Amino acid sequence: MALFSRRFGLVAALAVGFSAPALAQAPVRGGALTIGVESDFEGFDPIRAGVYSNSTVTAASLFYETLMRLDDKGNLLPALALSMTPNEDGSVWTAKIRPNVKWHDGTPFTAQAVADHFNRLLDPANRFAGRAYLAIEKVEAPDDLTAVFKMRGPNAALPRTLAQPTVTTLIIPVKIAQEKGADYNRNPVGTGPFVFKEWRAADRLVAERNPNYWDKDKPYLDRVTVRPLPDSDARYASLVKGDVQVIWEDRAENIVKAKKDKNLRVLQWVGSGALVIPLNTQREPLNDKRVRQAVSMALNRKANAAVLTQGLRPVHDDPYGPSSGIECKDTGALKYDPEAARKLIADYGKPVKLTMTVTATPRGREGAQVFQADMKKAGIDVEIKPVDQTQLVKEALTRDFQVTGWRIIDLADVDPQMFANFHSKSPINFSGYNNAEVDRLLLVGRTSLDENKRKAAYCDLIKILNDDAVWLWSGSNIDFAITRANVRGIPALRGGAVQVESAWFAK
Amino acid sequence: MPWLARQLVRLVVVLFCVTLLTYMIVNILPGDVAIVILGNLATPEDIAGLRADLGLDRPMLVRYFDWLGSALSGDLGRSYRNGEPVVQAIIDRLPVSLQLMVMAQVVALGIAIPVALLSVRRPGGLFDRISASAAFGFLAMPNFMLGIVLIYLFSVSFDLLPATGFTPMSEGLWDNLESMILPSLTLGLIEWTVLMRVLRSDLLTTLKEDFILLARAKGLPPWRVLLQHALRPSSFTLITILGLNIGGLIGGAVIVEQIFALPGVGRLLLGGIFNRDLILVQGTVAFIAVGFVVINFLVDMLYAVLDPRVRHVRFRS
Repeated sequence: MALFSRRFGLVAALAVGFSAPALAQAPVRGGALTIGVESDFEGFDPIRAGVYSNSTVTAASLFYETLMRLDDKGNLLPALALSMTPNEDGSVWTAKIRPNVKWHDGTPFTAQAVADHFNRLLDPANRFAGRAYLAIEKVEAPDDLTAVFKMRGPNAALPRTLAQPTVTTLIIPVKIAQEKGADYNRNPVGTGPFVFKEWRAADRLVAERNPNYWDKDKPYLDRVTVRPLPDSDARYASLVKGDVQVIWEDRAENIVKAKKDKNLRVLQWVGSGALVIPLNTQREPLNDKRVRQAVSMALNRKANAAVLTQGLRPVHDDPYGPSSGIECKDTGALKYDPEAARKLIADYGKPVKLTMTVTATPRGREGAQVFQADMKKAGIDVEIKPVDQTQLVKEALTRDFQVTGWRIIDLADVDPQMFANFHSKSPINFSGYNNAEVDRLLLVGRTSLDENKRKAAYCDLIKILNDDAVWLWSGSNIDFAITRANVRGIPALRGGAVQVESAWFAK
Repeated sequence: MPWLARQLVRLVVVLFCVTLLTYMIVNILPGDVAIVILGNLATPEDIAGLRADLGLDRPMLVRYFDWLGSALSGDLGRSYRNGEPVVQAIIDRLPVSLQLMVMAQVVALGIAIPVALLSVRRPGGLFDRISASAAFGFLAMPNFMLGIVLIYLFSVSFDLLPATGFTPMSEGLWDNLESMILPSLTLGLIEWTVLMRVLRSDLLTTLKEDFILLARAKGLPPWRVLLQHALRPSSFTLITILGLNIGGLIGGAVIVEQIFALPGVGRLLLGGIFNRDLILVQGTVAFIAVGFVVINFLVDMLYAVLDPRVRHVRFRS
């Protein structure tokens, strides 16, 4: 059963800026593109780097590739694998590997390399934290062009999960990495459209066109430079000046300004996942459903998002996002109603005082302040506890919090995040939520090969989560890039990464 | 004890205190490099394992003296985050920071000395008053704001200089200077204010001395009196401030390197702090402390060059 015949949902991706007139013109070969990103790169060996920021994914996807790809509408396309086919229950997936692909050092890319890459990440000795999300047991390579993924159970999400470039899915040559040792992290080798040339720490990473790339027409650019420009105003000024032609951006003022500038284009991507406010269901007074519902009803999510992001961040009643393809007619979301919230607190009968743990950043504090102001209207006192990012993570994972701020990251399939966050047996379920029906629906979402069944399960699930007010959805995952007006061909900014394999300069 | 030996003992004591203090401060910061490396979802077992691998499970003082032992033999360890040798990371970044600070000092002195000389020609006059107001204006301006203003003025509006980034000298001297003009102006335009006020004040005192009266009586033109007779004896406080200001300059460089995306030591330090990369922070701070103490040591030596009386006193003691 070929995978492409049953894509998971038709995706209504919001891809403002990927305009039709731009696509009407044929791509032009040549040119050097410079991308300004927010931070320097952790390195390009997933084990040593541990995590890739979106800046690192932007750089890594120049020279690394995934097995499958997604177009802007969310359809799966072949990349290093020509196809991925499940067995009857989806517990084994077979990937047919593209023949005649070579690593940049000239050695052939085979199924064994795929197996080595994933098995290395799965090996507990390597302490790769991302393995918590991988539902893979092991990967085998019966021949050079066949990789077999043995799953921990039936799994419908694998091909889509492997299609989005991340620290897990971008395939590296383990053999070469082991030969080069510690140096590999700074001198990557891949199969991708560009060959790594140079990385000057904190200054620039340079990659040049791979003349032996398997997709003969691509890439169009001769050279790509990625520069970490940490100050957002200076990054924007570099774009306006023309020193760089593309920037990743999150500062609302700059995005609003760029939308009015005819020399610039704003690319916008509303991904899956969401910014969220988890409530600890194991701690008093939030172990009482009435208090959680009161918090949910007192929170004016839409007004807050409008104030905090100048109206740029949409707010939805679920954490799926438009790019997931899941559209629920009824999400069971509790409406903003401070009066009803006040009644619920009165019904609870005791004064409610909460502590909200947030990162000690302007963003963290602003979010907490609007939360605090909303709760006051419902008679709930909120104390703000600003902490370091790593401290927040520690408190969340040990369930040592009442209310906090978190993010469900933008992934191509919602299963890994939803399962990890809400299944009662998941170590990452830090709200301590335990609901047998939710567990059942999460398993349907994970295992069913029928896309309609999966979709229905996730819609039933969201109704329960919203009624129980476990996590509150404070805004969508939205990413922006700003380009010079003549830059074309940048696809959807999945996970906030800017990919330039198909980018070109219009004359 | 000879003067030089005393200075060296002082250097060792300062370094010991600075490194121990840094070690303690970075250790009490909340957060953990193991979580930074392994990511938000690492299991407690993986975090504990990595901490053990990095040696972070040992008592703090044991780790400090281990580090100190290696540091004395020139090994500042390897970054916890990416395994890069700290000495190598500093050597790679140092030329950028040094160039930035030297150019900033050149800008600062290039403005401060002529402005001070012109101001004292007529104290309280129009130029003096304008320069004093300008100095206070620049002094009150934070360098991150000045940096952005300069970028918008010289890069975006006039299209004269690159907004961000660094070009090494190996790729062309002009390209290199071009990339460093705005960052050094950002630092220098704030730095000159204090230097100018100090020099102006010392010049005014010197101009009341008898030997200046004598020079004037000899009929020397005013510019010669100022440059040849008044400037040198008025520059002691200026030189002291130059030495002490290195500390402020390094602090300013951390911010300026961040704004202009320069790959310097300041940005290395900032990245180390964000990542809780204790060994990198420790090595960088120790290096900066040595630099600071050595520069101030050289400033002390410079007094002797400028004033034979100082030399005489030092040699006697």
